[in-house]
Amino acid sequence: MINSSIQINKQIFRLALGALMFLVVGCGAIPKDRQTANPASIKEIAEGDAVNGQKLFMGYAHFENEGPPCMGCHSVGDNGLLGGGALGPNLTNTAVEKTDDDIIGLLSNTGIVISPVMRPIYTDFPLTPKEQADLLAFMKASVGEPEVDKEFWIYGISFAGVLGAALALGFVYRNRLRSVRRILVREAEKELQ
Amino acid sequence: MKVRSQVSMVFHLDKCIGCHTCSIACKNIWTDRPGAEYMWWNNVETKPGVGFPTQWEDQDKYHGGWELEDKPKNPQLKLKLQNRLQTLGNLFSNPAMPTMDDYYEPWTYNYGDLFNAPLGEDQPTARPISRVDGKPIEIESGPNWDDDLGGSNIYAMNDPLLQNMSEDEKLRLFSIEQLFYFYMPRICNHCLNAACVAACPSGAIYKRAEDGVVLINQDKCRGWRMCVSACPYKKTYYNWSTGKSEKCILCYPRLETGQPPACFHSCVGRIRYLGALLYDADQIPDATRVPDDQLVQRQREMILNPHDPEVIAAAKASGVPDRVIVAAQNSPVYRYVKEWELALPLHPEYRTLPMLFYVPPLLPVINSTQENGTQRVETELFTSLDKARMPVRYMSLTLAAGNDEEVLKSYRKMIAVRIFKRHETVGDVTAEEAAAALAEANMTAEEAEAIYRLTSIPTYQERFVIPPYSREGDIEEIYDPQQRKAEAGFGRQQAPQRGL
Repeated sequence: MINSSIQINKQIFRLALGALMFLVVGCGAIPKDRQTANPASIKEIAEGDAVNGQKLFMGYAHFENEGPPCMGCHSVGDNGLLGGGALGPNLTNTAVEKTDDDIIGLLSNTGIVISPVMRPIYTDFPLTPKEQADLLAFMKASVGEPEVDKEFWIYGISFAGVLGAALALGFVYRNRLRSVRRILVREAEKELQ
Repeated sequence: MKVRSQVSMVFHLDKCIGCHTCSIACKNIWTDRPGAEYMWWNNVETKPGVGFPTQWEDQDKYHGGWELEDKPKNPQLKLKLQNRLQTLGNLFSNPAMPTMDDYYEPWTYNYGDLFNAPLGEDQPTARPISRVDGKPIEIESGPNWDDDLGGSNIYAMNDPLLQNMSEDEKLRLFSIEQLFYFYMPRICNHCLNAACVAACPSGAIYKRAEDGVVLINQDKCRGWRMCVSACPYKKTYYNWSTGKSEKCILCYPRLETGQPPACFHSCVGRIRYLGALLYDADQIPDATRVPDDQLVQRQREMILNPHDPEVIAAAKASGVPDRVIVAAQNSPVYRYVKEWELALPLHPEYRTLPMLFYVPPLLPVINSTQENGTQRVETELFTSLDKARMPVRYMSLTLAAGNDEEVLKSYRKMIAVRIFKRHETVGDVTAEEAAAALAEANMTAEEAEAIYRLTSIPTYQERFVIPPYSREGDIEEIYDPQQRKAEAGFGRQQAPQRGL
């Protein structure tokens, strides 16, 4: 009984996650032609360009099939002013933790290990073998870099923004009527004493 | 000349006893709904006092009404609240709103506790609970907190009108044996140049064509509450339950069935008069742009004589039904406002052209004991302004935009009528004295008699001359089905048309 309910819960969770992904992806561009992803060959991996990989990771360069940049969900080293996303795992040392095949498999959705989150996204917007190789090269290059957590910056900026907006609006509406009767009674009582 | 008919009102303050029956009649019919508990479409205030909401007359705070541009040549009227651009900027945060505390937090008592409390040493009590959130509250104020000058050294002393009076005048108002206060019932004035209509960003407020009643379309209202700020009389209210604003509707369902509004009908002192006035709508722009001291006179000039053949012809040409013209001829409001010039508009300086007029309150009969022990009515009350116990200055700030002469004119007539009738019925005033009083007020004995009759012994039909309504009939006349033959069909509200 309990097991089956957990099972159902898991299914519901997956369904909800799938729906969320559908929303996230569905709201973006409609893929031009659906292509089947090809995993990068050994030769291509060897030719991987870490600099271009970083650009692709951070979104400075576009993926050919318009897939979203990795940094939306992942962090690597101290790349980016406010770091990367916190949804997916930190990938700084992933090249050590996983084999090349596994990583290429994840990126192309063809491996033994497949990410349930990345699969629906990169099925519609597959990465080319060159891009996979470049990303792998970038991850290899970043091994050992310090993992910097910049979340407190995001909190700080949000807080300062809210405070600033409150102060600005408070200034704009500084002359609004707040209370008439209470002030009148307070002043009159002060005078009477 | 564009003649319009307006259902107008006169409140005879000299007869008001401050019983609040009008307020209760209104509350029971219209504002006993959730979200409307705090609203008093009709309320009665003690003056001097701060009123409801607190200090509503202080337009430096509330920014209600209109003001004239400060330039010598062709000054234009503009809303004191804001211009169109500011309306957009303030749309989500109206800066001149009275708070709930300035009205009052409506409350009830937890009566159930009286019956359901467990047996104990102490008497159970019914605690006051808020009708907004249902939690116990400390009652700090109510809709008529300063009734009969209650708490006067806090409330009455802070009446905004007193700020324009000298220390001496103020002192006399509140000193013993000189004390003066009166009651002022207030409803929506159904203004000719209503600021609420002009301020509404949704265009939800309109003035009915046939009788001039100002109404808020509940379908169009978006609850921006600009009318609440813009109305200088604070007579539109926001319903927090429906999210729309509401106001006095002059009981139009009653009017349309030939009955006076509930507050008029229930008035114990019979102070209220209702009748149609014909006015020239073309004169509205000019009438609102004269200097303060001419406002009352100019507003009277706008109101047309319904007996004048020229006016009758113009009214017919403007589409005023014949029966409404007859009603306007019999209107008690016309007599008080225009013929006798007794009744004055409330705060004409807001320049909204209010169509509710007040006859200023007079003193009780003042007698003096004579040498032979008899009583004698005082006849020389108005020989000088300084001697008058009644604060003419205060009345003129309330009813004539500071023009003392308008108020004095009214008072001279009222006191002359009193002396004249005293001579007739009691006889302790000589005929010469009565004639002198009439002469000073510049009136005839017939006029004095007519004022007396309509003031003291009017019948129900004389007080309320409700113009006949003929909504269904009018629609039938306009929509003659024969005219629609071979056209696009029938429509109840809007005539169907071909093309765009």
